[in-house]
Formats: sequence, structure tokens, C-alpha cells
Amino acid sequence: MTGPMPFELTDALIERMLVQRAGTGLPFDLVSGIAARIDVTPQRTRGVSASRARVLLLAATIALVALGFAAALIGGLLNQKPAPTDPSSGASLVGLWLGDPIAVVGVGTSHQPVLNVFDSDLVLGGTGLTGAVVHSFTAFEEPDTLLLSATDDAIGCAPGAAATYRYTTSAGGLILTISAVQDACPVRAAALAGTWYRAAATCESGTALCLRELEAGTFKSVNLDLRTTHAEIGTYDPTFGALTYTVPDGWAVSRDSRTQLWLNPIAEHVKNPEARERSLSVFARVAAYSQADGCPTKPSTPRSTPRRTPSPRGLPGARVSTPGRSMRSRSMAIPAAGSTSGSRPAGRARVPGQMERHTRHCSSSKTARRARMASGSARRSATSSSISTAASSSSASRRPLPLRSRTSLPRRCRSSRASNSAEALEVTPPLGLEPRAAAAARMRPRRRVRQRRRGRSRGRPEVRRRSRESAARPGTRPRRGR
Amino acid sequence: MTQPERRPNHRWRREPKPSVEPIAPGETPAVMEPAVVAVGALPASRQVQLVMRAARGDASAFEELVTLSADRAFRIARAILGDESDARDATQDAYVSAWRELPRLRSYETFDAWLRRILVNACREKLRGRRRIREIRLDPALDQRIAGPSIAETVSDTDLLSRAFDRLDADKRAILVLHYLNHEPVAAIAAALDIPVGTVKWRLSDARAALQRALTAEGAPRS
Repeated sequence: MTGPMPFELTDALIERMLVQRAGTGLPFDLVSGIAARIDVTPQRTRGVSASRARVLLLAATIALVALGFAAALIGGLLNQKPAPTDPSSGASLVGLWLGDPIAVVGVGTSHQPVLNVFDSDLVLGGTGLTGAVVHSFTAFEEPDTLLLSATDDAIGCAPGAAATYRYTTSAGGLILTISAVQDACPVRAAALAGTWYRAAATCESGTALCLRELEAGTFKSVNLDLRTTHAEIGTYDPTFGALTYTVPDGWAVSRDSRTQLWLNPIAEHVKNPEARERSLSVFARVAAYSQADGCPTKPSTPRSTPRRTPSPRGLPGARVSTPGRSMRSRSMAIPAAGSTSGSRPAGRARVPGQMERHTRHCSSSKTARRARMASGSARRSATSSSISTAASSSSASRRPLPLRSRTSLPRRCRSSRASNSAEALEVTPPLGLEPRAAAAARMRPRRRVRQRRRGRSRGRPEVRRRSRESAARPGTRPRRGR
Repeated sequence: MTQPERRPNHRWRREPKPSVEPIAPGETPAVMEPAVVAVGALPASRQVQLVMRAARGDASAFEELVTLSADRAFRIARAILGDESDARDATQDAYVSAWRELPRLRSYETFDAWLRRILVNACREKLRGRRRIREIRLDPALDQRIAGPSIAETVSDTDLLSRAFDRLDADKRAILVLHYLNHEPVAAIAAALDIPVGTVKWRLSDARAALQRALTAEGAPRS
């Protein structure tokens, strides 16, 4: 008679068991669930230990005493020399200013020139230029007069070449207009005169220059690139002024990247710059649907931008230009009719004429998927009568640059449904949502798509029913064509 | 006459602030290499940058860290807990705790080990809660060591082993998972569990012995 076979515990067996327990694959909603939770979870601040606080206090005291001595010493030295001008009169100009693209023979072309104003001199340069186009000492004679004296620049102004400029700043100090009164160096006058926009002190990660909180007026995008095709992304060069927009008081630029421009009411922006619930967004390089072989297409969906244009034209109050290959930029006006607060009524309403089409996308990146949701389109969150969107062609660029060639992008077919086609205005979740619910609502469409796919493939009617219920729930995006 | 070469003037340009201090050529980096291999094959320096940004409140950086490491974390949690929904909860709890406490993390290079420790603690909490809720009842038939059909004939070895594994406490499960599933070196396990290396070795052998005992209790014949 034989007993049971002895059970030998081996490393391989333990490993096999653990691999089996661990399973494969990540729940599809795990990452989005974590993201939704961290959106509503504040971080704890780093505490300072008592011993460290004592050391810091001692160091601060020593530093203060040393600074006092240094200030007394420097003050005594400065008093021996006459001050050339009163720097306080030009203090409002100190900082970084962004201007329209420039091209200077022998120095290069910059799509994003930057004017850096210091206390006693200013420098004009930019990516693509081999040196400073303008570098001059500055002095402020009157509140609105700027005196320049060339030092060393790349355009060959004679050292000491003098100039007189007049400048004005907007009420909020964000827009600077410079005009030449007299300049011995005409190239400098051509480069410097014009309108400049004050760059924000801090930008989102990965972006060096941007605008942030705006005043009422017309502004331009800093990094948005509307003309580069997918195939040319590697050659991307941030272009100032690709899009011109006009806002009432109380708006901020939450994101200005190569592919997206988000405008948010300042209150929303301060609360959460990533908030999309009430944002007005513009997306670049959007594919309405797949053009790859094997991807089903809807014959009614136009492929080219000019043929897609009529769709937003149908929106009440929208003015859409006829885009052409020679057009370098577009403009979008957000006039404040009756109200300049930028506030919107609570509740969710659908923009009449909003289009929702089932499409199939061909790409794998998250960014591309987001970008495809609306091509060159404006996304807005409510149908307030105080804010309307219009698009019209603009030739605001001072020096139009040649267009890059457009090429088609080969893409892998990816099965998904987009709720919005190109050129559509979209309504996002209601204003009264809690941040967490808003985050969940933001992710809901993608989850619903997966549920629907799963339900279809496995033949689970309850999943399809749940999907339909969620689609009918207030706060979710309305669906058409099911 | 040739134009004199001009040196580019960069005073106009404001570069994005680097997240880490640049290291001069030939200079040894001040930071130590992480004890644990960076998650998702992410370069250590890139991960440190993401952790720094996340510690300053950048949710998108943290989301990127989550995207890169969630798969591995979820596998660990699922192996320890043996249940998908519990593993999902534990993983979510661990990441939310990590996000909340990240500003207090002193050494960004040890993020992996720190996160692993939080995850194991979350699994421990989950197991503790589960014990309060229900008890696992054993099939009395399996506890009888009588001659009969071979165990291999009734249940697979891994199923039996998995049930035995469920009898272990959280610490033993964690150390076995980190060693056998993740193939992490002892030093990395020590960092993740915040215990000395010698203790890891001892606990590993203890956990294995406990698993053998649990197997016997599950009805497996002695080897």
C-alpha cells in the first residue's frame, strides 16, 4: 500500500503560485481612479524640526546683520556719485516681454522673440537668432520716454548710438507698446517698435514662456503651433501669435503648449490650473477620424479643414473664416456682452448645433487622443449669453513666415469612439460638481466606451443598459446616433 | 572682410528651472543610486525629477509616476491579498497616501522603496480588516491525513499552495512576494520593509518554513 506523494516545496513552485495569484493586466480604471482621488487630496506640508528651526533663526539673524552692514557700506559709496536717472520710473517695464516673430538679415529668424528689460539695459533676442538683436543701455527721462544707447548687439548698431522711444503700458501692465521717436540705428527701431506682452513669472512644467492671468484686451498664444503637421512635430518651434484672442477681464491662460491652449476664469485657474470644467480650449493637429487603410469611415464626415468649416458656422453667434493654405493664424474673440465677470450660469446645456459623430481613431498616445477630440475647435463649458465665440482670419503677424509643408501621418488603427468631431463646441460637466465628481465626469466617457465595448464583445446586456443609463444621466455628455 | 564671429547672447532667454542641480563633467553625483531599480524601466534621474515635481504639488508628475509603476504595485498587492478588488483598493490607498505624504519624503531617490513600504502597509491593513469581517473556514476533509487519492489528483499544486499562502500573515506574505515574485535583492527588500538585511534573511527562511507548515495544515503530505 502506498501513501500520498510527498509535497516538495520548491522555489519554482512558490514563484509559479505567486505569478498565478498576481494575475496579468491592470484594472482599466485603477490609474484614473487614483488620479481622481489625488485631485481632491491635499498634500501635507513639510514640517520643520525644532532644532532645524533654531539653526535657521540663527542664520537669518546673522544674514540680517551682514545685510545691514553691506547696505550701509554700499549706500555710502553710491552717495558719492550722482544717479544718472531715476530707475523707479521704468520699474514697471522690468521683466520679460514677448513679441511677434521677427526676421533680421544676418542674425536669423525668431518665432518667439523675447525682450528682456533690466534696470539699466535691455536685450532683445530669441530662439533662432545668433545673438542679441538689440542690446542697449536704458534710461528713463520722463514717465513715458525711454532713452537708449547701443552697447553690443548683433545688428551692428554703432556703440553709443542713441535713440528716443515713447512707451505706453496697458491698465493692467501686461501690454507694452513701444514707438520710436528718434533712432540713429533704423534696424533697432524696426525690431523694437511694436507691441509686447508681459510673460508670466511661472509657467506650467516644460514651458519656459507663457502668459497667465490676463486683463481685458487682445492677446496672443505663446507656444501653440497650429500649422505643423504630425510628421513635423520633431521640428516644432514655439511660435508667438499663432492664435489671437480677445478676452474680458477675469480670464487666465491655464495651458499654452504646442497642441493646446486653455482659457479659464481666473478663479477657476487659481483653484486648479488643470481644471477643464469651465475652460475654453483650442486644440491643434486634430484628426477627425482615421484615414488609414482598414479603418471604417463615415462618408459624411469631411476630411479637410475647409470642408469641415461649415459645421461650427452653424453655431449661433459664431463667425468662422474660410481657412486657406496661406493663412498663418486665426483669431478668436470672446466679447463681454453685458458682463465682464466671465461667470456662467449653473447647469448644463447643450450648444445648439453641436455635432457628435462616431469616429474611429488611429493612434496610441493619450495626447493625440485628446487632441483628436476637436480640431482647431473651441471647447467651452456653458452657454452663457455673455460670452460668445467667434473665429476669423487674422493677419496680425507682423512678418508672416513661410508655411511648412503638410504631410499625412501613417497611423495604426485603434478602435474607439469620439464623442465630438472636429470644429465642434463641447459642453462639459455642470458647474456644481464637486472636484472629485468633476474629475470622474471627465473620465467617464472613456470608461463608458470601454464598458460598451466589453458589453458588446461579451454579450452582457446589463453592461449596455448601464451605459445607456449613464448616458442619460444629467452631467454626462449627450449622445447621438446610437 | 569677414564678419567677426559673434558669441550668442543668452541673456534674453529664461530656461525652465531644472528640477535637479546639473552635475559638472567628471563630478560624482551627490545623490546615491536608488536601492531599488526604478519603476517601469524609467531612468533613475527622470524618476527623481518626477518625484521632485510631485513633491512640490505637481499632480501631473505624480500621475506619470502612477502610470509607470501602478502595474507592478498592483501585482504585488494582488499576490499578497489574492483578491482583485482588495488589491485595487490597497493600491489606490497606497498611492493616495504617497501623494499626501510626498512633501515629507526626505530622499527622493528612495521613492520606490518608500512606496513599496506604503503598499505593504496598505495590504496589511486590508488583511486586518478582512480578518475582522470574516474567517476562512477550512474544509475538514482536507485536514484529514488519510490515505486516498493523491493531492495532485484533486487540486493542483499551485491552488493548494495558494491556500496555504493565505494562512500566512501579511509580513510573511510580503517578504515572499518581494523575493519570489519581484526577484528583488535582499538589500532592496530590507529598504522596502525598513528592516536590516540580516532580519530579511531570517524572515525569509521563517516565512518559507511557515508556508511549509501551512501546506501541511492544508493537507499536503510531508516531503
